[in-house]
Amino acid sequence: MEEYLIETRGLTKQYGSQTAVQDLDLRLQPGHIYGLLGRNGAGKTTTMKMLLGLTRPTRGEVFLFGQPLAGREKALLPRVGCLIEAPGFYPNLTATENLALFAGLRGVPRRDAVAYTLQLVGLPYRDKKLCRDYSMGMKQRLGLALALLHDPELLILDEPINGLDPIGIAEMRVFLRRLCDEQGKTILLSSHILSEIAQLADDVGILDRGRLLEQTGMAALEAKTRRYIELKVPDARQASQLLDSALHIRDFTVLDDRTLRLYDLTLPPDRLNRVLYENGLTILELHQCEDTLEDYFRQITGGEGIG
Amino acid sequence: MGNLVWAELKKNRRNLWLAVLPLAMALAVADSRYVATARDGVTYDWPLVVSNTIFLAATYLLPACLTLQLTQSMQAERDNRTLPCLLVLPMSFRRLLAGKLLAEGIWLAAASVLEWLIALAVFPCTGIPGLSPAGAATALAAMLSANLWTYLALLPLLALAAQWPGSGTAALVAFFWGALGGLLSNRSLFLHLNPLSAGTALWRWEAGRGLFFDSSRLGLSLSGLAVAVALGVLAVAAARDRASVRHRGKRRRHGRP
Amino acid sequence: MARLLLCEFRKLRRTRLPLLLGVAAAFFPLFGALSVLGGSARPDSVYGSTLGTLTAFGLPFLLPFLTGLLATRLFFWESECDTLKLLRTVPVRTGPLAVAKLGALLLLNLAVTALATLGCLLAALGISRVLLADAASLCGLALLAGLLQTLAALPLVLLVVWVRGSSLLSLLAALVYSIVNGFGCLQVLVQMGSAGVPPEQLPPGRQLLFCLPGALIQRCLFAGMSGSPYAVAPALLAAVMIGMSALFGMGIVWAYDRWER
Repeated sequence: MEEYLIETRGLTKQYGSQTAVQDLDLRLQPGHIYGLLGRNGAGKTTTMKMLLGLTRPTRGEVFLFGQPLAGREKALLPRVGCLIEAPGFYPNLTATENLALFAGLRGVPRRDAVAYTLQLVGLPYRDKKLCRDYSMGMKQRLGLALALLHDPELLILDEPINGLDPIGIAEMRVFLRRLCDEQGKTILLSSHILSEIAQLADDVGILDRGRLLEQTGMAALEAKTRRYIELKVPDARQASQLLDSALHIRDFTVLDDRTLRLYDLTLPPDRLNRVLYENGLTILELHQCEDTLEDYFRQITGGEGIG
Repeated sequence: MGNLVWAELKKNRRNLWLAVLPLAMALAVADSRYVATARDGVTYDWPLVVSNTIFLAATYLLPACLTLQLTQSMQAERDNRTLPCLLVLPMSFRRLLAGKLLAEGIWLAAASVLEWLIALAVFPCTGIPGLSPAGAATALAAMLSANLWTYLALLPLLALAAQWPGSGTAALVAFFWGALGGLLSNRSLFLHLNPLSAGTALWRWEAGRGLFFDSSRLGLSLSGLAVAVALGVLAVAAARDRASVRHRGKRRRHGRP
Repeated sequence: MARLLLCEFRKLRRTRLPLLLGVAAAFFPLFGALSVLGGSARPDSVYGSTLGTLTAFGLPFLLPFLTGLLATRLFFWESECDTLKLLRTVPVRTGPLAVAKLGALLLLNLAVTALATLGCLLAALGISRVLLADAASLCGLALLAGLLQTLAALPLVLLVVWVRGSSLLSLLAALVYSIVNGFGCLQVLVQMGSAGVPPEQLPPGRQLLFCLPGALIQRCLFAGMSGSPYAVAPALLAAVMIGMSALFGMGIVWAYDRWER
């Protein structure tokens, strides 16, 4: 079994003087869901297109299933299912006809593949409704059906929850998780909705301005996102002096005149409270908090958040 | 309506579509000049080349060009999503279509004048004899009337085609319908009954007589045109955007809302 | 390749294209029938008016416009539906896809020609009420003319794919090409039928016209064996058509691949 289902080495894409992706070293383990996070224009779609051979990289290599993609598309791409940007289909045909057309082209051996795939994504089989009349959610499902039709080992999905309502998003999340857990599929998906990635992905890659800033497991990322105690006191300056002199704690930040964040969690809260009270400071509020993924994203990208 | 027509002309600023009709006229003049190089025993003079130009433009070029231009103009409203914005002004689809038709007629008249100017520039300069003030005036009248006649004859097709998305089918029908007139004999009654060919049939060329207006079958021609215009007006009166409701009928037949 | 070709036809379900082709095919017998009115009702005149008009005028004039229309539809469909990315991940390369589209274009044009020929034959039969002995050869000539005129329109297909502009530009290009081709073919017939100035004595511009593919087809079909100075041998025409098909076919595949990448 390959160590990585997807591996890129120094993958770079330039459009004239503009660099869309730079020196990307991405690694996706089998049986995992990898969430590629990034703002709009970070390079997520460009990266996915290069992984599928839809765009030729300026530099670098793409390896799928341990083999270089260049020159081996015919052998490798049938093992991949994809949904890139908006789903593409023929509007004058029904969902069944669209799937049957692609099943014929792919040479899918299973006779009931079309019916099975439609049932899997929750679309009706042999319905008379044409694709041009589909709602956004149905179009996304159809796009997913086209990606799953030939039972691929690897799925590359570009913003699969785009345009879905909250219930649709939840259903998609459950569906993708089931595909991974029960059918052993490996999924690379991109999104700019952090909360969804946080709930779904096993591994995360954070892309910003074409560079992969971080690539880590979700468990490690959760460990990294810092916990702290937030204190509200009448005089934060006096409280900071007390923390340093009386409690020998230096791992804190003063946010404003009345608020401090204490990152050293070894100190029991009751001792903190007693020391401050004995020195004439009452604690107005005390919260145990944790950086969210969005806070973490902001920290490492240095940006305003997801644009 | 004046504002609407003016808006139609303004919104196509920097739009290459507007060049379609003038280019078609230029092509008709060029082709007519090229035909005049034939060594087939015929003496080509101003009246004859003008007659050929009118015939070429009105029979083979204008039907498809007018259809393409109007259908593309309406399709652009759909593609750019400006159609809903216009309909909520409020403005009815019928009014919008009428405005586009009027604007196209005005533009065609301007293109016909341009056709005449190009002919005035090209034919005498390239050695075609026989230009006179009376000949030039006749040519202008013939070009304007034949081209506008073609436009009026096409009204039913234009009004129908603009209601559906796409332009290929309508353009093909218009092209074939126009070409039909090119095949018919001058003696044929159908030439005058067919509104699309009647306009050019009324302007005849004869050796020794030159280009002249033949009113002998004017009544027959006008009756054909009147039917076309009446059908065109009816089509505009009943017009609606059928692109969005194309499948509503089908859904109703299946008993679904 | 067969699978790709079949897919091209499956993609046309519920489009107006079959209607369009039916309308196009129905016009041809109409031309011929109308041109018979007021003329001679002798069987050879009737068949000449219908099938002859189809071969000499109808096909050179109208088939290129239809070809341009079909090319616009077939070659731009994947971009409009955004399905090319799916096809490329099957994987289907743009080269074989373009070849399949060309094949579909050829077959559709042949279908229209066959329908039109059948329509003209029935019209002639209906008007003259006699089945002419030469009817089969006239029909064969019409079918051959349809095939050759389609191949002669390959430069237009290349232009449509190369320009890759709006469908309006493509249709206008098809219109201009049709008129130039149609009038060119007509001029050839008129010149051949007139007092007979040999082609080398014509002005250079006219000589060029007589060497265009459409004109070569007319010269071969209508003067091929007659010893006329305008005659073109079938072997020469075949060589030109094969060379042209290969050259422009490769150009179309290259242009399609270039744009869709």
